[in-house]
Amino acid sequence: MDIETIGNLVRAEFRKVLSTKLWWALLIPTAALTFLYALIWSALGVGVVESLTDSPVYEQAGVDLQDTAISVFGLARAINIGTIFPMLLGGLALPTEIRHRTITTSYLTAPTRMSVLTAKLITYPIWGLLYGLVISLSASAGIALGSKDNTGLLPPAAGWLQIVGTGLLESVLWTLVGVGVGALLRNVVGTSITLLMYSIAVENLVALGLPWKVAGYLPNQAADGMTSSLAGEVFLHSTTLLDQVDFRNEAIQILAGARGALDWWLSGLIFLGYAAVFVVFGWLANRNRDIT
Amino acid sequence: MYGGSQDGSGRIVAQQLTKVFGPVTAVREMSFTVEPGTVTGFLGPNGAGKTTTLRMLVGLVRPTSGLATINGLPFDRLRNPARVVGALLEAQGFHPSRTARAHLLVYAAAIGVPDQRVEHVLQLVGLDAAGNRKVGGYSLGMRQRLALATALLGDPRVLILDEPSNGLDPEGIAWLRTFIRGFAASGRTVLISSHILAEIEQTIDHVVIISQGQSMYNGPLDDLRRRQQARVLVRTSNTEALASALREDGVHNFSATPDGRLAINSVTGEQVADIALRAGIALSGVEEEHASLEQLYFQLTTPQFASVPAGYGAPQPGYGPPPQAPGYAPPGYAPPGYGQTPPPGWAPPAGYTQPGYQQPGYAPPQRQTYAPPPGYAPPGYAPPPPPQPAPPAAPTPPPAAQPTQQEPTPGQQYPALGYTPEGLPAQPGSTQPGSTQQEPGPDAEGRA
Repeated sequence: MDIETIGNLVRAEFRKVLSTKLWWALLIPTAALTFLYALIWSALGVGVVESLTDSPVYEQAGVDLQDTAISVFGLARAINIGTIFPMLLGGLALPTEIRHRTITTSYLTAPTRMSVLTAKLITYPIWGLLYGLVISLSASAGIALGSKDNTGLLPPAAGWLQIVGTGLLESVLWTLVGVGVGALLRNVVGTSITLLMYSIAVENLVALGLPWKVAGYLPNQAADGMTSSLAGEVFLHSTTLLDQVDFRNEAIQILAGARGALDWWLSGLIFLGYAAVFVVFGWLANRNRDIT
Repeated sequence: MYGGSQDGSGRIVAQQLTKVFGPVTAVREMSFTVEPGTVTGFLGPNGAGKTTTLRMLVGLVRPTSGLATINGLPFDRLRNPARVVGALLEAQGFHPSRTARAHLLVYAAAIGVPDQRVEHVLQLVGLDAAGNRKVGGYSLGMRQRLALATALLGDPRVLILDEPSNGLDPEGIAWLRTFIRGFAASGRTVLISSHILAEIEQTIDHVVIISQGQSMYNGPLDDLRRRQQARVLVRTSNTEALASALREDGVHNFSATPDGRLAINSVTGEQVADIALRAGIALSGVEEEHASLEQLYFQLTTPQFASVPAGYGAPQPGYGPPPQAPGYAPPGYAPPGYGQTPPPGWAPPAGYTQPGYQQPGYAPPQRQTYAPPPGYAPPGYAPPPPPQPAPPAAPTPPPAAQPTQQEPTPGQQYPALGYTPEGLPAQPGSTQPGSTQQEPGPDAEGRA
């Protein structure tokens, strides 16, 4: 498996993606959903801050809410929801080939099956990066628009960039998890439903029954934890609002929608670990399988 | 450019290939060699294990035991396999919303051949005008052409074709035959599977006949032809006199046919004519007839007649109806002339004598597959030897489609010229047949 061969196969993978409509059929809802999600959450944050500001308690507490970066939670949540699309794109990489039986030709035109999978593992993260950029821009536009009369509620530039940066990473890693799960399940419908149900519903229910510390080790919590932890840090940095609150971290995690989230880098490593595990099992499921 | 340990021979070797799917042994200790410069037919009924074997050759199916090599190496050790072997195994292996051109561009990139190669193979198979249409709207024949184009992308020296003429129109089949002959004539290797002998009989030099996962015959087609029995059909006004004359000459193996002729085995027409002349018996028709290859093929692949190891088991479900079934005609079994009810003594397998065998209408469709349309004259296409000319004195009128059985008239005949690669006639929608393309295919050399 030399560089030239892999280069050829990656080029073939790009042509596969670009010659069908899935990539933009997923990219449009990515942008739309992320933008709307960010808009709604930041508007909600603005609403909360405004109602707090109007309450008598606010004046007694003596904190300034006008510079509280409440919109970071909208940013993190929007990014997290947006990454279901790169997850799906990666997830369908192999199942569509199996469904349309192009896998036969793909194996016949590559030196090994490993090289075909390797090419996908290079190609799809690059798509993940593109999706991540669209997600970041849409989410940022969403919170900017949602907070337009209260710009003080937007995160500072450095924090913003950090969250967006981990969002890119999250998007990239989701494509890898997707490729791995798709290779494992080998079925278009099965892979799509499994990935969506798990990341949107199943894990959140499971996490409810688990201690906080453990929940952060689950795949989706780990993925979301990357942006959510950073959002929490940026938020705490921007305000003294919760300085006296004992359950501060828990409160932040609830706001960020990531219960039991670990540090962003630890979450990232855990999620990378999951990606590796799924890829390995996906590989094992296809290495010797007969293509009949 | 290939891995160092490839022998560059272009030889396909299957050694004791066995594949077990759960309780079913699909392929059992299959061994054969396909030599460069030859076209080898891989024949067997549906379900005999052809596709499984071909897929084992290219690593898509992992043998339970045994080894397959191409160019001296197992497929997964070929560095750029599509440059060595092109395989048409999947006429349905396309993303429906991808255009033919986009499909080929994907694999051109994977193989590492320039994009111009895509245009070349599209022209070669006559799809250049339809290249920008989505494959989802393609007919089976067009998909088959596209599959062939894909197999040829890497300009391979070995071609493995699994039922390539499925869905092709007669023109396409004739073109494919010419193409394959030319491909092999340039020293390359072709392995082509079919369940119909007649479909590839004129294309192949060697044949591997398999049945129920086992090789039943493996060798030159000519050797198989020599196994054919011959008989002479004569018509005379005095059958009794001829019979006794024959007996006097030591010829005992003959019998009367239902149509009033005498069928004599193991003699030539000349011998019979001599005997009749000496005995002063007038013959009104002498016809030599050979058992067709199809019959031999049918015998080899029908468990009841073949030498199947004891205890091998019953025919697989779905395998053809029992030969005793009245009216059963094996697919493609259509030797003209033989259909006039073989007499006893000819020793046909049971079932061949069933009246239903002569059903008019079942032979003609098969004939059409190798009767070229008028005016079609691919260079280098050897005229197909009509398997059996219809008996001139046939008492029954030929079936309606009889004209298709005629030999091509001189104007239609295939000039046996050197092989020139020529595009497959274009599909509807193409304005020009691909025949204008000049770049020689992988088979530029003339055919001897």
